[in-house]
Amino acid sequence: MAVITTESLTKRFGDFTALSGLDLEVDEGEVFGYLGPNGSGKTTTIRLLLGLLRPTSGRATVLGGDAHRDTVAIHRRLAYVPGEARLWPSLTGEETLHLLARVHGQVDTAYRDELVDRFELDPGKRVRAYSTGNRQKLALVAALMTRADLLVLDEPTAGLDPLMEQVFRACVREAQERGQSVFLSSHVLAEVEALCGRVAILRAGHLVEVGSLDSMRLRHALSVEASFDGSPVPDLRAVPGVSGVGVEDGVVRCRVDGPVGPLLTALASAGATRVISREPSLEELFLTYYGQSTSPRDGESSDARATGAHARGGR
Amino acid sequence: MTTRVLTRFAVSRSWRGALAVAASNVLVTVTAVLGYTAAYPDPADRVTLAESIGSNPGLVALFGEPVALETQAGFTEWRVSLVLALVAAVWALFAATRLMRGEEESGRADVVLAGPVTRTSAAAATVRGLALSLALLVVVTVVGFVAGTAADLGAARAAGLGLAVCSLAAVMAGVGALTSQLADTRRRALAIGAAVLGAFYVVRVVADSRPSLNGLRWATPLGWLELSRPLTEPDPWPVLLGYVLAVVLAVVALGLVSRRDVGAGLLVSQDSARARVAVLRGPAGLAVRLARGSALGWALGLGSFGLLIGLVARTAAEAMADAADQDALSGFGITETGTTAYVGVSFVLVTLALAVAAAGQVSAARDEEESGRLDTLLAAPVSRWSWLGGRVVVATGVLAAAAAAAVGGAWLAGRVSDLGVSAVDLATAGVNALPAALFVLGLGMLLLGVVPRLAGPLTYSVVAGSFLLEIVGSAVELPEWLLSLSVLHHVQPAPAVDPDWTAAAVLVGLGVALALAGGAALRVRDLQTG
Repeated sequence: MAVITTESLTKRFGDFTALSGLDLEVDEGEVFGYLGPNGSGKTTTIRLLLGLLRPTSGRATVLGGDAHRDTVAIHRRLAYVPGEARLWPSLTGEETLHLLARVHGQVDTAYRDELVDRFELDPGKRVRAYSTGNRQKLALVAALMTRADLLVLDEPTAGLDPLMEQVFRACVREAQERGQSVFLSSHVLAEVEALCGRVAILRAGHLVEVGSLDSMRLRHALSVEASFDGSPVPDLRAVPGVSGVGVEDGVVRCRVDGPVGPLLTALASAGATRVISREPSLEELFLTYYGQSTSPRDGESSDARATGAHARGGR
Repeated sequence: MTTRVLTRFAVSRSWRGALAVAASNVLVTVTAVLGYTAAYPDPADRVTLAESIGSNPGLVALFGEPVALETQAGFTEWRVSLVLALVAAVWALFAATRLMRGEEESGRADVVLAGPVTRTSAAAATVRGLALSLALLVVVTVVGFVAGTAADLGAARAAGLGLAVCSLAAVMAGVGALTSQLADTRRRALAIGAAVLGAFYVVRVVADSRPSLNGLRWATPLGWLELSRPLTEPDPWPVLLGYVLAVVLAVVALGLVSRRDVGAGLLVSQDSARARVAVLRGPAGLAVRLARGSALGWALGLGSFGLLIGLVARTAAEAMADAADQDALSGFGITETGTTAYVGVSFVLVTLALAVAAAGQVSAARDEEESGRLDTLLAAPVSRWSWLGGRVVVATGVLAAAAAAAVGGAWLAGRVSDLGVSAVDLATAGVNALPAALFVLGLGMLLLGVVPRLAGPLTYSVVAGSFLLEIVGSAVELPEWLLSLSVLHHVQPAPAVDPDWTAAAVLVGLGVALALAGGAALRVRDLQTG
């Protein structure tokens, strides 16, 4: 069952299209990663899902209700953490948690106290006296303590130190074990790799890729590095499926899409002494979609491919 | 180079207000000059008017002591200088606290301060921008006064009036710069500044209350304004004193900048506090908690005002026994005499203050949205209707509390002195002062729904415009349709005149309808932060 479904969800601000025809499905119980460069439409998507923005066209269904019409019913079962906590400076941490618990209507007080401990929060302080990181922790505790069915997190760990980042990851895993679903927009790729089963990648308001990280790696170019001790380095640019060729000190680096046969044949006939291949890291995938080359030596932009890629179905 | 950009930024955010205030200065003064000749063509009338006002401690308390009221110059001076100076002062306080504290509070200043500027030089650049806008205010006011009234008043004296009227604005800009160093939020800096201005006013009232206390006029900038007598017995020194004080305040403020942390104020606010969660049950409870400060401020201010007018009402009323006072009060449509009439006039000012408070509540609601804190609430199971409803109910409560405080103050004064106005009549005056403010509140909510970014400024403008129409309308004949655009025009000065309950009901009804329309508009629009 899907907890979030969007159909051709589009948002324009004047002439600017912030989000264009987004089709997305997030399943119950999964931790779904939402990636994209700054200004690619991640926060717009989340504000649409929360009903804070009105879609220009298309629709979003969250927990079975229309995101813009059934906000109150949906929000009883949802909790949200923004990238920058927006709280009332004059309230103390404790007052903030009390207020947000009352407003939400659902709170696990034992878990709240545990979270306050784990995140090392001093709830007696006023929000204005908190550092940015501590404010963020307060917002995280406020969301997690509700045990909501769906957690919508918009770059929730901005400003957290590595220790707190670990606490956050543990909390998300616990939430998942309890059957909660998580929609996680993030810039921290390690965090996404550690937590998310499936990810979506957004670029300039368009969805360019959705899928599990594993399948995404499979579908993408392998990085290949071959050494030629002394023998002349072959020209691989004409080999089918090969791109991003670079040569340095008798070592050739390239990427290969699709069947590796032709490349292996070319390398073998040229007398390669060593061949290393590996799957792309999330960072490399990410950079591919962001329109940068994976290595400065390549000198070839993978822009064309990224824009040409189609959003592949969610499942 | 960077600091020049900051100066330009400060000017760009304040010159429109300066120009608007200058334009209203000119409009009010020119109409007052022309209106006097038209209204009192007969010298005998002028003498009667002069005697009645000059011997009326109540009017003296409210507007200052007049000199030579039987002349056009004397009447104009008495009529416009205090009111215009106060309006300009309020603008200057708003502008200074917004530029000197608001920017820092929002965090925008951090970006600037990370650049190649020191905090003091950045603040000094902002002060220069503020000074340029003040200079614009002074120049346009003076040029306008000279162009519009030189024929009647003489160019030098008209210019002197302009300088005098703007001197309080300069002082309050300095006060705002200083309170922005003391307080850590714009609202608090504004509140402290408003309290200072209120104190100036009260000391001036005391100084004018009897000749033996006249020396106290030297104690406040409002007293200096009175002492300068720009149109009748010009004395440039008190005005100069005002501008000197403004510079001193600005220098002191700049000296304090480096003594505090960015984002913090010198007044230490408690970082820790015991949790008080009794009212924090939901959006409305939160609104109660957030409005507590402004409710207290307005109640304190209007309570003291009520007390003050209650104390001087008896002496004022005795002076009003002169039949000629009818003339002085006819501008307010008052035919009655006695303390009732005096309280009636005073409660017109309470009505105005409540309308300003209502605009402040609209602005506070918009602040919640702009800062993104509304996102936090609406991401929880809170509908936009219930949020707005809670704000409106709490704002109404703030206004009612402020009105009640004015009534209570006057009533308390009546217990000590012999006020001669029944508690019921006072309460009626208090209730009568509310509908205009409720209309403003409703209109503000509509603006919040339709043009959120402009809701605060536009609502304040509606109140300022209404006030302007009232002042101009009391000096010269204006067509009824124009006057009826002023929300204050539909409020009778109770208890001097029976309240017009029909008009009151219409105002409240319209306010409710506008607020509902605003809620409907808010429900379907995008939330707009930042």
